[in-house]
Amino acid sequence: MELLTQILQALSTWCLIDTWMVVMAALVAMACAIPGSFLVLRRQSLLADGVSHAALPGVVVAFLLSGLLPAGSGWSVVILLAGAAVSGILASILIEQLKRLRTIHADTALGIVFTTLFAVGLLLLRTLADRIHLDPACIVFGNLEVAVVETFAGTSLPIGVVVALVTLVLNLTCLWLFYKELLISTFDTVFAESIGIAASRVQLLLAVLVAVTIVGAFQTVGSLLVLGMLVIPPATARLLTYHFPSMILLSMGIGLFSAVMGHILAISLVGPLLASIGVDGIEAVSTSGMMVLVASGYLLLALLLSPEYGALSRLGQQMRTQMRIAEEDLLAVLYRLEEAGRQVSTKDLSSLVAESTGQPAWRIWAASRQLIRRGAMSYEDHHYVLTEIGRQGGRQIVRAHRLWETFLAQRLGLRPEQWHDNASRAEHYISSELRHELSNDLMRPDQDPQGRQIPPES
Amino acid sequence: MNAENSPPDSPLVIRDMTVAYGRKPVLWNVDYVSPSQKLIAIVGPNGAGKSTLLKAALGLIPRQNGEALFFGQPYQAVRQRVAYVPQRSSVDWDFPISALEVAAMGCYGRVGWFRSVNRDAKNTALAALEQVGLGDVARRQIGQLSGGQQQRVFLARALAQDADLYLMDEPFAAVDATTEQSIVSMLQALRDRGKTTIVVHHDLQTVSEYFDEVLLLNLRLIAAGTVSEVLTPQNLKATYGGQLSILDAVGQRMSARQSVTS
Repeated sequence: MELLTQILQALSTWCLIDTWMVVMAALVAMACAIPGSFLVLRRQSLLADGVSHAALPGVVVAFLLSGLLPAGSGWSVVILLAGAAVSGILASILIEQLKRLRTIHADTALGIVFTTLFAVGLLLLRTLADRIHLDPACIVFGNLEVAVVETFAGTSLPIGVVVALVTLVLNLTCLWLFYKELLISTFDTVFAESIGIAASRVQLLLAVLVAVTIVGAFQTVGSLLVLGMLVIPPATARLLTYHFPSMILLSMGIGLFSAVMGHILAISLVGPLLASIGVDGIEAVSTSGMMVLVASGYLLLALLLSPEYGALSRLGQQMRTQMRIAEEDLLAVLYRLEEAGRQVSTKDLSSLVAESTGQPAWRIWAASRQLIRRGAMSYEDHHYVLTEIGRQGGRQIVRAHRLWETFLAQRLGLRPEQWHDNASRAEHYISSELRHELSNDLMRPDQDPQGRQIPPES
Repeated sequence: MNAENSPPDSPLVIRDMTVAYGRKPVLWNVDYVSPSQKLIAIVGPNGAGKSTLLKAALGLIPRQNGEALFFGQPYQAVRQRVAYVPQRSSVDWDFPISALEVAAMGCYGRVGWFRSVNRDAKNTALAALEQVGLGDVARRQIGQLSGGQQQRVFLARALAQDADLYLMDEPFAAVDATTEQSIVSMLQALRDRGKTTIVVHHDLQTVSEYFDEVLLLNLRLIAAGTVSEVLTPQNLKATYGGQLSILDAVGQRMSARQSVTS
């Protein structure tokens, strides 16, 4: 309760700066989602890592040029992003040329070009250190808190917000213009080439978008964490949808929420939480770090809850299969007892099923409840009796079992002691079409290799 | 037919084409003139350069020497008259895209850069999917389709291209017998509509049953022409070298075929 009060108290100090920080972070996150979606699908996530290094010389030169302009002018932003774009183009062209030599593999070419360009950038940075105000630590880690303080001369509009907005608009425009080319070249490069959409041009476009996006995000989340915003939201969206436009929209939404939640948690939760375990004096932590953590949290949730890939849905599916198998086992045992003209009490039946199939008692109980509810059997005078529906089900399982044993004996030549266990597993997966096919293949046998009757389909 | 007296409108003329990966030549000096309105198989052992022949002709991989003309012109000038179907294994079938969207890609070549896919393209794609019997799964994600259905999605995309020459890389790879039959009848229907189809094929047994013409390839062009002319024991031996068991099998089929026709 005390924690909650503290959180609310921390939030009550929310001011304009906080709003600008959230807006800037959200714009950056949404901009990242667009090229990021393509990177994830192209399995080129590492390209972002490389481009973030290769962009350095372009950024340094851009800073040098913008130093010639009066402070607080909008042109410095344009120059900065253009510098990034030039770096991206340069890196892509160098990589293509290196790959053409064929003695250097694509991944090696990536490593060579990006580190070389980074080294050039580093030398430039050190040489020009007196003339430009570029803090390397700020580039690597980002500094949202500082970024929103720098405003356009005479206004309260932070430069960083405009940079982020320009990046987002650029990405949206390119997505709108080149959606078809980006999509087809990502899905089927060879076919795209065959209809005249050159893979190298699409790759170049993507590299430019990635470079501009990363540079636009330098101040917000830094050149390291921006990789997270490029890759994590699309990877999360990928788990949740099978529709590509939805994947991009969802990535943008996840990015947006990560930014908002990230800042709220950074200023409100961590301080009080640490105070409650005795670490005092921490009011807020890095918004950029928290933003990426929140995105990772969403990914974790998606991994658990995704309808297709989620751990929970897989578990559910597994349990449903196990239950179906238990029901089928129960029906098959009842059918065999009926065939032998025997009747056993429900208690003996449960232990019989448990013994022959290894099913736990609780599942056999649950399966019997389910079968009665479905009208496959009824409970009469301390024992279960199959209804016509249940008898049909049992007959099909026994038929599958005995057909499969015949198949194992005749076609695969397995030894008698190998038949039963194998067939007990396979019987649950042999559909009526497969039974039909098996029966035809085996010349419609009416007895299994042990001389028991193979019941008809119905 | 040879390169000298080729008709100017032949769908595909290859002149002295050599292709190398690095320094290793994979195709040597191929000369080929394809007839019109025929179903043509490219046959040869693994690593013979069958797929390479198609890709190099289309300029998807660089040619070391020689040229390829489509309907008498370089490929760039007649892209829209040619449809290429890559191997099914060349794409990621987990991609978040529907069968309809893949088929609609067949119309992208006509749409051009900067333009978006319109309703016409969607309708063409849907019609193509219905033609290959996939109308009811058009909206499904491609990963949910069987291997045979995926191959047919690729064919639908080619049909949506509405070309005059179809180049297909192993359309029968890893599909079941039913799909194979339906693909064959589709190809025959294309031929009956006056289209030419060249197919990379790996099953020598079915060549005479499915195709009109055949091109035997093993690093070089060994023979090309009608099936009965080309599938001779000598040619097969030159193509497959020591693989006598296959030769025997086919030789038997060939002799059976000859005794039927003569």
